[in-house]
Amino acid sequence: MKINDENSGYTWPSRVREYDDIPNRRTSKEESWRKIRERLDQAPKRKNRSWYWLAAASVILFVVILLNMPVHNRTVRPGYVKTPAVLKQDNHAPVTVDTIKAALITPVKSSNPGIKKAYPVPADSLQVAGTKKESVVPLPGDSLFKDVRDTGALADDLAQHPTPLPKVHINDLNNAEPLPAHITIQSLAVKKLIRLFSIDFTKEQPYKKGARHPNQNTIPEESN
Amino acid sequence: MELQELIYEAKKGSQAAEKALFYQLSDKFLSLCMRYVKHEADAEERMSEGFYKFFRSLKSFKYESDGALYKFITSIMVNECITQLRKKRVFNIVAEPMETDAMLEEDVLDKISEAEIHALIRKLPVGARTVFNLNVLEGCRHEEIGRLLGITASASRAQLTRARALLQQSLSILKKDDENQR
Repeated sequence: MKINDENSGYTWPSRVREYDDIPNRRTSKEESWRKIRERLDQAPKRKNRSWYWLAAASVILFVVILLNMPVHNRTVRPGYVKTPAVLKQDNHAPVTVDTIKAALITPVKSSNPGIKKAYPVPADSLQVAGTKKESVVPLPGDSLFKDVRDTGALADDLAQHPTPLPKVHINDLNNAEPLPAHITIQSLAVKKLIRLFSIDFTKEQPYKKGARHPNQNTIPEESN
Repeated sequence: MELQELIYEAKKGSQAAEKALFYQLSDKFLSLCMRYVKHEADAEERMSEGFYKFFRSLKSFKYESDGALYKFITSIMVNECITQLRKKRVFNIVAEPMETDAMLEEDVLDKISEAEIHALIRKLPVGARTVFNLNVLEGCRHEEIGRLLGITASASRAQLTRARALLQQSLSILKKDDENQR
């Protein structure tokens, strides 16, 4: 048994861990390294996957934008004349109490043939909050304003001939039907996508009854 | 060239640095593999496989110290050896009650050379050798060893006791031979 005086400062486990004297190696280091090198060269190099992630992110972004984009039917009613959309009525004179009074007192014939008389709203009961120059309150002659003045006569007519209001489910409002159980949000989204891609924007689509044009800013006239 | 520089160069893709690392470390880790795997050819194969995996994972390795580097490569090599041994299903270990609680004369081990200790460890049966290597030389707990080898912690303790007893027997024989020679 050999006495090891050289390594007396170390404990035997650490000496065993450090031991690296292999007297008769079966394979030389050169040979071992050559084999490792060959395997390393053959191993497929890891591709830079950042492009894949970027492409995937772009596709997801595209789909999200598409799903959030409003889809228009682009249906055109026969004989429909596009009315210019009024964004802001900056050209009008500022609305004052006098202009509103003048507008309300003037009797206007109702567009509805069933209504004989129009009741002007008493001007004294109105209070105008402010007279901003940028006001977008419609002026006399505007169709919207006309309908507002007709409401008194309409209410009177309804009082004379009361008709019970039809019961409408909340899901039936705006022609929306309640969703059947098998239709999910996902399937609706896919439907929306298919619908978007199937629209030929170069052609004008035929008008469907009940559909409303997106630029339609007036109430459609009822056919007599 | 120091290990840190070699690692830095190898991470940049220098094949010369990789080769230098292999030449510098292969003996040490071949010795480690030989402590676990009895046949030298198998040990060399495990060592080569371990270095191959080390070089493949070098880009993700962050050099902190030489000790950390040794620990990293040691863990790869030990895993390689244990995987090989488990494939051969050598760990069908059942906890055997030892008749005597053998005490290993560690002061005697301190006096003999590392080559002799290395040879004594390699003579141990596979179960006792692996548990002894893992517990005494790598510092693993019995629970960890149990998980690694697929045995219970008590079986691991029993194997360690067995390894100590067998080593003590071998040391006694060596001691007697030495006295006879004198």
